[in-house]
Amino acid sequence: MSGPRVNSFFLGNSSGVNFSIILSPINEETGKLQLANCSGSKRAGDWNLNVTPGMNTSKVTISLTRNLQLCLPNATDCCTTPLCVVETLQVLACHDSVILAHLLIQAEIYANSSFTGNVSENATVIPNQVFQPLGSCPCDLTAGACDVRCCCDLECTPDLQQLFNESCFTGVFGGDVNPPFDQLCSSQTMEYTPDWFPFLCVQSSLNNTPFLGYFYHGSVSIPGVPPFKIPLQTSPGKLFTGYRQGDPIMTEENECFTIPQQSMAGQCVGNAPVVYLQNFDVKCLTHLASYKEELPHDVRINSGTGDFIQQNVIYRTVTDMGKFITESESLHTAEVLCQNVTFAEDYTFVWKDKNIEQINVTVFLGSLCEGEILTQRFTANFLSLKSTNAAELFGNPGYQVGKPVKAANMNASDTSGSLNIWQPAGRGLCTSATYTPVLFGLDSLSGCILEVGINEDCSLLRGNVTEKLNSLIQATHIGKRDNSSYSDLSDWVEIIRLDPFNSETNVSSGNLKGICPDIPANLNIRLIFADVGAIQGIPQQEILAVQISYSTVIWQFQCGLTCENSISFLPITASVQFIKVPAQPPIPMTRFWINFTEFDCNRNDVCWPQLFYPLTRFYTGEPYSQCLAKGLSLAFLVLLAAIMSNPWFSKLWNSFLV
Amino acid sequence: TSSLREILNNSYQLSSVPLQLLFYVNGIYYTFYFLATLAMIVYKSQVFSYPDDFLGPDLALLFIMAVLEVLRLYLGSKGNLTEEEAPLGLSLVITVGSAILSVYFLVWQTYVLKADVIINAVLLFTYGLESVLKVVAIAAFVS
Repeated sequence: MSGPRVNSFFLGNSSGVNFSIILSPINEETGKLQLANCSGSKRAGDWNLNVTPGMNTSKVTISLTRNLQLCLPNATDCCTTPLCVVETLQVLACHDSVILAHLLIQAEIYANSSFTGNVSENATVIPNQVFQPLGSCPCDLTAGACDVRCCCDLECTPDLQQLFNESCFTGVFGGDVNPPFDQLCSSQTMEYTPDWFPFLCVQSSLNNTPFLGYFYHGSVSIPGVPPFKIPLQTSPGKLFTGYRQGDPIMTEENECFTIPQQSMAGQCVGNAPVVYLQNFDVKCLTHLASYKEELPHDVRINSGTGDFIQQNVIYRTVTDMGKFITESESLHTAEVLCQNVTFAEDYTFVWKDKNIEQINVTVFLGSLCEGEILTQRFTANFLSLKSTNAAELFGNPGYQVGKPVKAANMNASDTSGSLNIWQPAGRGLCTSATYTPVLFGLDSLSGCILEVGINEDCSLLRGNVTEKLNSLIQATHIGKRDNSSYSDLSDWVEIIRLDPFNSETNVSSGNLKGICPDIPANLNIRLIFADVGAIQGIPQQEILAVQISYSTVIWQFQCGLTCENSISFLPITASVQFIKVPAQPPIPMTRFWINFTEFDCNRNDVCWPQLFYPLTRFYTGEPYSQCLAKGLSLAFLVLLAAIMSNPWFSKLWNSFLV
Repeated sequence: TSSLREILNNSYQLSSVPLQLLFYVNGIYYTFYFLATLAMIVYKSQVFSYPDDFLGPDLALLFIMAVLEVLRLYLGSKGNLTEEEAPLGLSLVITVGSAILSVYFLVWQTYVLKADVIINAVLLFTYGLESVLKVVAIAAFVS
């Protein structure tokens, strides 16, 4: 039981039974329990006995009746020590002086621990942690007592400390928070001591070490979080001055007009802006699950003069579904979810000078069912009012990056020619490949795969490959500028062709089955261009020369485990490379620059800026601070010498020494 | 001839020649001491880290010591040569202050290098010798 009250039970008939309580019944000499007699009462010392009789059991309660508060010594009616009561009681149940039962109670009661003392206002001064560690004696674990083997414990008396002096704790736990460092004179551990060590070693005590204050102070976060706001689209002032080539087309709400286009990563993004005078033709793959509704076509476009024009939309249904839909390998159930979606959108922007006059949109609708993959097609064309052909560049006759290179076939009656590279389709075979025109400024590499049998004749193979590659080049001349006219020959450069070396003599020797050397399988188109000037600040680029050459490979039939497969693959490629050359000679140097070469460090032996180094910071071979220190000490010495050599100074010196 | 002998007997001159010699040597040595201690304090401030505000007092005490030294040497030299005890006594008092500062640089500095110990010991020895000679000279002047 805990607390000043304890209960017990007396079993049996309690009629005629006397209960009494006796204090300290133990014989102090022998430590044995004294035999008690029934002459006690219900009170003994501070203890009270209470009996509640019942039928067969009686409840016996013994309680302490004194104050258990802790108080000062020599006070009355309270506890002077924390251990307040240590007593032994005996409860007797007697019937006619015969002891029926006795209960032995040993009580150890502590004083109530409510604090009534004074709280000290003195705050412990915590030294600066940077220079004085807070726990200077980590092994001092018990307060008010000596910790064994802890030599830095201040509570240990010297004779106590003498007992364990040889086996103190070492290291930081033992209180050695300042380990000896290398620069101490008494430290013998360093193998390498610098030459000056006997003079510049530290003799002073260990309380100040060089490692004081080497703390990571942490970085302070600047109050005021930078605002992570997306800046609002500032409306360009040029809306009122019209569009220039390359400007995004703006809508009525001052946002960019968007049409889904292909991003750099290849996938289609829905909100790509449309750039003035830049045509595009993109194909986007989508299926029913990820189909997003297009922008409604009632958005009005800023025409460039400040007023807004409506889009003229024409809706049509798709007739040839096969061009758009490829069916995936899913089951065709009768009930398939189909939806009316946009298959293609053709935008035609009619422009004049810097404004857009008209926008005509043709939207092709069709129904897309689940399980089918749709290739959406978005095209945008800028048509000038002056001509119905593809747009003439406004004020920009040179080539623009991304425009197809103009080619002409001067030998044929129909002078228009083309310069193409492969556009593979399907499995990549040359039989199913189409052509795509070479675009200015874009280096490209493409090819297709030719199927060759094992019994292929090598010369026939060469001819076949050469003919296929030549079909890419349907031209003899390439236009210098984008607006080269077919009637003026000076606007065109002739294609320099390096035809493959046709070695007829090697046919017989190299006629092993399955190996053909010198197959001209790679076509290299090199176009050399240059900046020839600028119009309205926009540099104009012209093509100066074109060269077409062939690289040869050795084709070898690829066998599996056995050479039973009859068809092997030969990849043929076409690569386009644009090389930029300076079109003009370097600008002749003016007389000022020729005279000024004295200060040109690359061309002269004497480099004045580097010579006067601390004053002019061109030299980088020596640290600036070192050179400055040397220069200053030199200047100081010169000054000292100048002063001391003055006769006035020697007079002063003599008078000083009396 | 007797006056010549008296002059050669040196009995009229009370100024102490060893003391003057010591002043001269002290002046040169103290210049070296000042530059060396300054250089070492600069070296210590670069190589070691000083606790809060310990470098300032070190440097300040060095400059105070320099000022006291100049004053002390001037007064002592003047007192010795003019055979007056007042400037010499003042110089003796200032020597006590300089000696305390030297003890500071020897023992109570933040980082005491062995070179510090050596030059301060030499300086203290010089002070001690000077003090003895000054007391002797004052005694000679007074009587």
